[in-house]
Amino acid sequence: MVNVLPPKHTRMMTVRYYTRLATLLFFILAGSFLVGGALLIPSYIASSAQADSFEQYRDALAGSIGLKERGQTESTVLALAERLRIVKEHHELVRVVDVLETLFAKQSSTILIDAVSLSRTEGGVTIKIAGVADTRAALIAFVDVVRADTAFSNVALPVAQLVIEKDVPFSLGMEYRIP
Amino acid sequence: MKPFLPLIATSIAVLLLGGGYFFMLTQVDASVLRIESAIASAEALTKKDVGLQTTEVFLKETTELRETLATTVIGKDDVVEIIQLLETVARDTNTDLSISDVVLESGGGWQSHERAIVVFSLEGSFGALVEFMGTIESLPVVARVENSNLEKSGARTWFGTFTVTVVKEKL
Repeated sequence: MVNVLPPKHTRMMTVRYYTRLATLLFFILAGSFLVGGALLIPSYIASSAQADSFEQYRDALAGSIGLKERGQTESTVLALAERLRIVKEHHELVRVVDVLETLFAKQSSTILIDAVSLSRTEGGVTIKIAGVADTRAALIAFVDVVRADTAFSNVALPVAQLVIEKDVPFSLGMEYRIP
Repeated sequence: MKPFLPLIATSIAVLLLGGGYFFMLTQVDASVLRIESAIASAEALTKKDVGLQTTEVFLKETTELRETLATTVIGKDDVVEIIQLLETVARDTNTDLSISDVVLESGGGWQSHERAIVVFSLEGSFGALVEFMGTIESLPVVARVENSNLEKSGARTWFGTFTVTVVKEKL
């Protein structure tokens, strides 16, 4: 087939052809967007309503929990836990009377204690006693008896106190822990 | 120009309708995200609510026990009760009590409780002083002897200085 049209007309027809083709494509595309957009409207309305409803539910729940929290439930439980810890620690404590009873049970008639100092430490009691022993041997024997008890540790008797042989004034330091 | 007018018009229509379509799409997407976020928050809050309800039931069921436990510490406004307690124990053990200081001390990792530190001296027989200390530490309240210095002051009498801590509810 021979094209007898002049080249100028041929070019013009080609341009018109592509212009109309593009117009048609754009028209179809615009139609698709229009239909798609219209179809999204129910989803948009439904999802917006659903989102609002869920957010209202969440806010209501948060409000109700907030009220309960303001009702001091949490602080009551924390105070209870703290009180239980305090009571537990108290029951595990070394009783000062037990320390004194244990110590004075070791005192023989040759030892006279006339001062006692007790100071509570972490997990035990630091003890300082002062008194007079009949003899040096009695003092050493008393110290040995105290040292033999595993509840007492660091039983310190200054050697200088052993210089005197009779009526020996002494001071003794030690620590007590529950064996 | 005239042959291009339909093309220009459809182009504008594509831009406008495309914009509208994508606007709707992003709105739906945003709503879905809002729903997801609200559901996640609601689930977390529901768990918390269940926990709080369980706690409330626990507190209700243990009311009597908690009331008994509460008697192990001195009430927040009952500092005088501590002094009266010491005076009663001193009277019962035949010792002469002289309170020199009462201080309230917070801390020690406690939020709802504090220590009442009482410093006092006591005079009596050695047995009476020991009985006093024993009674203090055996009371149905959380009290303990922190420091004590006992010294013979006469043929049958001893003099002692004491520091006792009593746990009380925080003011």
